[in-house]
Amino acid sequence: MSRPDTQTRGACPSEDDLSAYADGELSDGVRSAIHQHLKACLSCQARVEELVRTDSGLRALFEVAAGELEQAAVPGGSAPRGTSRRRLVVGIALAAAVLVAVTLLFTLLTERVPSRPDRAAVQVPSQAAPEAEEGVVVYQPSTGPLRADTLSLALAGDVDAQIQLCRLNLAELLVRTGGEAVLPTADVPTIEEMEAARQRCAGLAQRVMGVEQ
Amino acid sequence: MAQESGTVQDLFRRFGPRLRRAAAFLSSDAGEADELVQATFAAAVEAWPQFEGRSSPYTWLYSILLRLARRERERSVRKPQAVDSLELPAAGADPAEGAALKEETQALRQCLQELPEEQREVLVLFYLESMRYRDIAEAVGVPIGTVKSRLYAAKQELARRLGERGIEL
Repeated sequence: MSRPDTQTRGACPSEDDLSAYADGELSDGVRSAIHQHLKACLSCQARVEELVRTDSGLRALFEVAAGELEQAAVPGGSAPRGTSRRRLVVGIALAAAVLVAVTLLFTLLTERVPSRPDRAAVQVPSQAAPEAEEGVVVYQPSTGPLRADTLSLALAGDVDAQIQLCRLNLAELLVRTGGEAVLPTADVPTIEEMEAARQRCAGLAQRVMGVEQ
Repeated sequence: MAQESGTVQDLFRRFGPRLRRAAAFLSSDAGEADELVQATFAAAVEAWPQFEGRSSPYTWLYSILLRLARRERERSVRKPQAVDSLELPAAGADPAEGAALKEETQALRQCLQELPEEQREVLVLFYLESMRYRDIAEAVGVPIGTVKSRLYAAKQELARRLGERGIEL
């Protein structure tokens, strides 16, 4: 695929620009140009999703490796909790990721450009859903339709709704964006509301971490 | 000098554990990582009077760490990736799960060691230290556009190498 020039209308952005876009590291002008491009280019949308998936996988792996190192550095420290720890990382990544995805989604559905996509990890687990562990929010593919008011409830601070969102597979969520009935379109949250929701979700992740510890 | 030393000590109190963690991923064994951090501390105390505050003390410390790590790597004969000294206890209650996880993280460290140093640096700063591109640029001493392209290439290469070891992201 030729991605010669970000600035050229219609041309696909370069791979490293798409990667930087996914990282939330572009200037407003370039980000906006890529954003406009993504609205029309399925190929680049798919590529961004792929880049995000790679990024979140690497981030989760680094997190686990760093956790191991810290545990090993503590005299008498217990071994890290293995898979459970990775699940937790995935869960936390998802907590941030889903709201990033929702931000992107709303942005693509409307003309609002996110002020800065959160670069927190986005995890789209390809493995089967792990078994639930007490006190740990883990990834589980949703089985039923996302209720139209779930997002509103999550934005209003409803922890259950936030957890439900956190359990959604990002890819699944993106697929669902095709169905307008799934997500509210009349009451589109502002960027500030999305940022507040993101922060609440980060708070949720911290609470989950607290439970884990 | 005592005051300068005190200031740098404050910085190390704050950032020392993180520097040590980054050093462990930049170098091939834990002993070398400790030496790197000690050397960084000594160099920072010495260089503090010349620190002009054009970058943050945080990225300044990392720039010293990276410089010393590069120098050490150039000096040493390249040995096979001796990540064994970072051997960690098996994780989790289930030995099979723990072993699988350990395999993945060990593969990550091995792949990192196989990458070109410039790629390893940006990956460690980005993922481990959660640095923004501009901070990475300061610490590494390259333009931000170089960070962008280098980091992209590094992510792809690391993912490819992990994939070769059967670790799909």
